[in-house]
Amino acid sequence: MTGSEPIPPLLAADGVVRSHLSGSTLIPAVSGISLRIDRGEFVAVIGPSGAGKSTLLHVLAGLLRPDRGELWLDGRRVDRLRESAWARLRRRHYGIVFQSGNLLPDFSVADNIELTAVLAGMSGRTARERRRQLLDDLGLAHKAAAGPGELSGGERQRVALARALVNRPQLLLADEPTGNLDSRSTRDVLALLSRYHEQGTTIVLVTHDARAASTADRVVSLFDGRIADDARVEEPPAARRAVGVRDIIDFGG
Amino acid sequence: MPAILRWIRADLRSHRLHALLIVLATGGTAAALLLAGTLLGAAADPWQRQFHAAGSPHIRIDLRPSAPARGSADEPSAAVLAGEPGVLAVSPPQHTAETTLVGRRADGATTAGPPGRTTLVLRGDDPDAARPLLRSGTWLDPDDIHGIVLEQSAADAAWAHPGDHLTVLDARGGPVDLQVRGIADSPDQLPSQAAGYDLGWAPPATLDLVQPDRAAQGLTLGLRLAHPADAGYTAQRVVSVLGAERVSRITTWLDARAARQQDNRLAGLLLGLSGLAALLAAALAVAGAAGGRIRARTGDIALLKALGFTAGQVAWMFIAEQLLLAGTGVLLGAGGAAIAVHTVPALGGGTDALHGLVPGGTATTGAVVAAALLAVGAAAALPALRAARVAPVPPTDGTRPPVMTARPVRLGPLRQLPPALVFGLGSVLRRRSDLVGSALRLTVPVVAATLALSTWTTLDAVTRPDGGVTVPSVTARRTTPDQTPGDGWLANALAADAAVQGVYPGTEMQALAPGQSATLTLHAVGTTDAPYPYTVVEGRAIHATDEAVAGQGALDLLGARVGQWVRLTTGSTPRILHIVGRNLEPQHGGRVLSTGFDTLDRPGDPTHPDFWQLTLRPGQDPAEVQRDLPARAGLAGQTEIRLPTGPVTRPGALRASVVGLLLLLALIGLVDLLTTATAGFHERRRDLGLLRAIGLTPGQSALVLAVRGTAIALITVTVGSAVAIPLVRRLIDRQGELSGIGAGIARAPSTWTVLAMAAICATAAAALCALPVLRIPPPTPAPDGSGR
Amino acid sequence: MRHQLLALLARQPAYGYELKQGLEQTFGAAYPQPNIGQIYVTLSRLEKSGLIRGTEVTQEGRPDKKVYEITEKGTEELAGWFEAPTEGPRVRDEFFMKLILAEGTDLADQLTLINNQRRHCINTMRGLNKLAATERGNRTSLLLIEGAVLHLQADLDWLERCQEELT
Repeated sequence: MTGSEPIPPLLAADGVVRSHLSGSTLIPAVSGISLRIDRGEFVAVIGPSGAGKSTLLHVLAGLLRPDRGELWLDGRRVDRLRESAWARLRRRHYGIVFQSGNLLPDFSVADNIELTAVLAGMSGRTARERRRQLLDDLGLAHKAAAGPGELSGGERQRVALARALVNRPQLLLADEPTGNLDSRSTRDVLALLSRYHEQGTTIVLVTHDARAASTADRVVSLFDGRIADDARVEEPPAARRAVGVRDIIDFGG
Repeated sequence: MPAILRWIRADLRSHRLHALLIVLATGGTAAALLLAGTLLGAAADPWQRQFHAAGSPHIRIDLRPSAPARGSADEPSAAVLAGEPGVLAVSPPQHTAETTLVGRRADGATTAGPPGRTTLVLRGDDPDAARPLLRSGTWLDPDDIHGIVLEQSAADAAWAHPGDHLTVLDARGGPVDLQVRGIADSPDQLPSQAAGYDLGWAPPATLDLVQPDRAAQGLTLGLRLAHPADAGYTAQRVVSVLGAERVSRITTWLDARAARQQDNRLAGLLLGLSGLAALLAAALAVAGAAGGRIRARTGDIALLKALGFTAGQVAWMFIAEQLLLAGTGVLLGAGGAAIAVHTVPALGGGTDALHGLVPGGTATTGAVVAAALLAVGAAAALPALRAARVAPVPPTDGTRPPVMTARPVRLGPLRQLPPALVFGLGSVLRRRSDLVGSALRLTVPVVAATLALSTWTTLDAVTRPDGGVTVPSVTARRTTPDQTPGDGWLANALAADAAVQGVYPGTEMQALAPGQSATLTLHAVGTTDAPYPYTVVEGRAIHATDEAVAGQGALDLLGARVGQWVRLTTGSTPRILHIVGRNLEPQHGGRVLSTGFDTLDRPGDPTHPDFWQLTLRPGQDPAEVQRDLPARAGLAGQTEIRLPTGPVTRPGALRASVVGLLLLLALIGLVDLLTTATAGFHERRRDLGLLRAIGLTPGQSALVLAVRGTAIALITVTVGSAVAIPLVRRLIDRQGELSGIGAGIARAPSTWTVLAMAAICATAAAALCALPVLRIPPPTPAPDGSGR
Repeated sequence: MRHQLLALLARQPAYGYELKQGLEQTFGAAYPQPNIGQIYVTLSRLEKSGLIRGTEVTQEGRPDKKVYEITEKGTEELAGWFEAPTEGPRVRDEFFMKLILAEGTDLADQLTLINNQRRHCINTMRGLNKLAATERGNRTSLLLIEGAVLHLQADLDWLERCQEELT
């Protein structure tokens, strides 16, 4: 970075701590995480279940308030914001994809997407156009009037992605978006994430799936609520790529 | 906020049944409250309907006879009054003539002497003036100068029926024979007891017959006002314009209403109370329904908040949705009530509350609408605030977070029962707070229904001719002019009848308390040796002469308490009576002092009873006794029998209101049950899937929920009636006290009624809870995410 | 490579170069490119063992070439290969040795070893992703990649277990 003016990271967590109350005992879920996410990054957060991945994502999205630590969005401190302020922030800056879609069951696909757009202040007409464009993009134009119950798991995830993207958020947070999907749907969803990343969306992806994680260009490994490793994913050298799988797995004999 | 509207639209689209039920419940409540108002007007307050139907004037002015004002000279006063501000119309002046009623005899019989002489004012009939409402018989025939129509309260006081002959004294004191053609209600008129004279209508020629000097005839005029509320002011103006010496009496509609309403307040108060209870029940039903749905959908709410809905928006969303439903309901209800009132003639009398005919009518409608909306809004607000507090973290595995930790129950001996019963009871025991909420919500309509049913039984008891709150009795009276046969012989002949338990000589007179303008009735029946069995609810019965028991109305009027001595004047005779007890007194708004006949020992007091009050043996139908007793006792043509007159209510309309209220409460109960059923179904959907996976048939799993629903319904009815019956007794007694009859009138619904209510509730609950289960598909092994 | 060549020859007789093309067509880029020299060496060994039989074919203006066909014994051998159960891929025990032996040497830290191995796995995974994108359409190739991905995922899960147990 040669610029004299340091550009603030899009999102920065500093010493974030968050515990859950289970019965009468406090169980630490995130115990002191500092993380800096710059514009245009695609960060995967991996780790065993119970490592605090989802909690971290919820804290980053303002869905949970950190017990301690600071959170900065675009150079502005946000961890002390009131719930309603966070709600407004999420509308404009965040797109969130939850595990298993979490579509509103009473809403059609189109309504699920448009509601989010209208909530952010978009006019009904713009919302409709955006929705149409996104569904075309995701190959779901024919499902606009369907209810979530009529969709396959992969389709639901793509609708959830469309809903998260309809407001053209700076930051896309995805919590196990491939959690319940078969490998083909997983591949489709990951390809879409890569595509929107290439178009400039900053993505934080919480996943248990190494394939999903390897789509990102940075992998943060959590362990016991702490960051165990934070590494850039390297492009394998061209020469090695040609070698193929033999290099990875020794197929017997 | 467009996003909120969108959410409401989609939510309503996917919950049509629920929305429909809420609309129906609020609409029903609004309609019931409005119709209750109008029915109350019709049932408890027939005056309003009559006033409207008769086109009665708001102000009735009686003018004294005045020598100079002869013939057309009266016209100027009418013209002068027509010019007064606020006066819409002046009815044509009608002549009046004062006579003295000295005798009455039934058709064909000889004249019997009524107790004392009363003033009968005859009013000249004018086709252009508002006529009273004919109750029985026929209207006047202009050519029949001996025919008159008697005012209802005058006819009651004189025991007169159409066809009876009356003897009146004309201006010179000569007897004139008149025949009663009909009996009519005149809603602008004070009842004769309050007015101090009886009123009758006659052709103008009859007036000339009894008072040939036109100058000695009085005049009466009616005014209709643009603003009825200004009647008092206009009355003052009239007196100052016409001169105080010219006006003998001025009656406004407010006086007339006040004089006639006291008898009917009880019914009005009780039905109003039931209506309010229904409103409360409806509000709770709305709260419950909203709460149930919010609980069933915490996951969606969390998701909405994650998407960027603020807590305020979430709360507003639910409140606005409920208000929208309630608003639709109230509009439909008000519209339905208006249509019902216009199309069903029986309801037609009470349109005033809707039309604002009487001052405050529009305000009443507005108040009902506002109250309904407010109640629903407030009821929805609480669960909405709970929704607003839902954490914005949507559930990760697609299932709802557990609402509460379910503790395993020891079912112990229950294990011997069929499995469906065990699981059903187990689920009731395990989710106790859930059970308490459901039961509480359902309790209110049960309490309200108990109140409505108690209203029914109480009013039934009060208005039933065979007493109910008092000992069943009829009154017998001699129809012969002289004292033959003797009193003793007559009493013995009556007492000999198998239907009669006791015979008590009696008389009745009007009494005035010093410093009071209102009169009360002194009812002297029975003797110190054989006192009449009054229903004494406070103090004791009469043991000696000069002791009396009083109705609540009399105590209120005299400002006295049981145990005090009171002074009264009957005619010109002063009396001092010791009030030793309070009895239930359904007549005359309770303004009755009852004492023994032998207390009347002052000079001028009657020596012979005017009537005998007969108490009947249990199971005797007073109407039958009235019809058959004279012939059976060999007294045909010598006595007549009358049924006691209770508060003048219209049981038909009252019953219609109670039935309507019960239907409404049933609808509200249905909404509550449906809420309970859906909540139970959603919460146990997973468990039931598991139960079915381990081999419960669909029928058995339906039974599991049916058992739960039945248990809740039974608990509700038990708790509800246990709470309601004492509460309702107190409420009704309080109303009884206000109405003058006095505390102690409350009658709880019969055990069978309560049992029937329990059975209906339990059946409905079982059916509603079981039905959705039959529709779940067989259990699928892998619950996939959003398939909830 | 013996059995691969035997299997191809069991379909039909072929020249050495045809066999190389056959292997490439069947497995695509997901499988290492066979070296023609290695193929010839293997073929001559198979012939020596009597599993295949070679016949010289003369060509005009070109050196003669040998057409190979499978023998009775070769067919038996191949059937035996198909019939025998296949051993799973061998555990990456070299990494495990490093992880266990690193303790106390002050030369390497266990967590670093695990992190490095994880990075390596993820980078490899990334390579496989790219490969899958280029091989789109070749079912055999995609299946092979899928297998590799799942093995990698298993390795990563195992690394997590190592981390839980050892650090």
